Amino acid sequence: MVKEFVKFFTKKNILEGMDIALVRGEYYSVTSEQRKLLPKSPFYIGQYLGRRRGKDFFPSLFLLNLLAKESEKKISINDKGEWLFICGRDLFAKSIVVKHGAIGELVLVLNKYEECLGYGSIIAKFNAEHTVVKNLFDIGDFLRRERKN
Amino acid sequence: MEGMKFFSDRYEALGGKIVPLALKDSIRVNTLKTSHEKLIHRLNKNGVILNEIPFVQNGYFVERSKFSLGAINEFLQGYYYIQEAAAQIPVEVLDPKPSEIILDACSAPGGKTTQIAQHMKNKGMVIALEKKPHRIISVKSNLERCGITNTVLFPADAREAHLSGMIFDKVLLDAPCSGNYVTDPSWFQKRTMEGINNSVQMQRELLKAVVAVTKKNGLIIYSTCSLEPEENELNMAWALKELPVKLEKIDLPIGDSGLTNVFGKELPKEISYCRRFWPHKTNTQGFFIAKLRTW
Repeated sequence: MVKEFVKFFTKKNILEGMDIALVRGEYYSVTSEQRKLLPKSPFYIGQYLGRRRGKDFFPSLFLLNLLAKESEKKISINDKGEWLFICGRDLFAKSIVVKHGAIGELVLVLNKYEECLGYGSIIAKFNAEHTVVKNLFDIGDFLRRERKN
Repeated sequence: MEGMKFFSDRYEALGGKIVPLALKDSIRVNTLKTSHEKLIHRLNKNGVILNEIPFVQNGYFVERSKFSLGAINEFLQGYYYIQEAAAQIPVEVLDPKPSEIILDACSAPGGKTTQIAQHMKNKGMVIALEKKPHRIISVKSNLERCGITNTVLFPADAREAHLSGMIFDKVLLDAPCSGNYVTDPSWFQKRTMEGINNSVQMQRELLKAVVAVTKKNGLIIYSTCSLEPEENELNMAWALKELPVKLEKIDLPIGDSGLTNVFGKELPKEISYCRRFWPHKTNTQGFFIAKLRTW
């Protein structure tokens, strides 16, 4: 599933050389030493890549930033847009500084420092006055996970 | 054997006292992901004023901030960890090296686990244990956020650490404890000697368990955020008597020597090698750190 997710954003094999393990529905890149500990059912091991839930895949912060370096499918947003996006909100055209992609495509959402904040789906033309990019996942998820607990 | 007066009398008998103290927020720069300069620059641009914590390597007091530092992009990107100043010290005393195998016996919420990995430059291996299911989620989230790759986290009670079959170079035992009044405004209403004695029982079981999985001449850092001597100096006196360990001196520019006379009871002189943080002297939360060498 992690490989399919990567293919949405780049044809490059950015996972090449990684030894990927699936643990409790989560994908990790592990070292040979860490692999020996997999039978002991760890809760977290090595480099976390993301988790699957049903048909959905939720990428890790590491994977998002790795994709942001390699993929062309990305947009850049301003400070106000950054704040709204990491609060789980969709994006309006006025927040988008660098535009890329067509309706129906997935795009990574970056801030002015080229840090990946998440990804979304383009649902309207970039000159539309309503929501242009629907938030599918953002790094504010860290906080929302904590609150759930 | 409870209430503010009871504990106040105890602390005074030990040379301490209760003072109202508003702790400054503090952060630790995660040098695995950024540098001090870059982070300070970015936070300054957002109106955040930081001041170096003089007794740790990567810590800063937050002197001013218009917003919560736990909800901005720089935090979510893992550039820093919000960690109380005294709580940043045990890992510095542990002094983790990139080649080592280290056990973090009670890891939630993951501040010290991520700090250990940071010192190890994400090399070597950290085994982190946490037995409480609702707290292990926080550890995992912090490991991911801080970009930790050398750590394996298990949902396990450190008293069963031997089941891992592993022997460790170093161990951090930041033991579950009764806490202290600085970080919990209702502390005096909640705590009793009975509860403290229950903590002591668990702490001794944990000490015994981690000694069993530490290599000979290995290092164990024992810490609590408790001011109660039963959980600190008296536990160390017990460990010196019951376990194959000796205490080593901790050189720190902050904190008092461990108490060697507790309510009239003389303790081994080496207990003075430990460090005790009275909040009214250190402006930190209450804290205790001991450095144990196995033999």
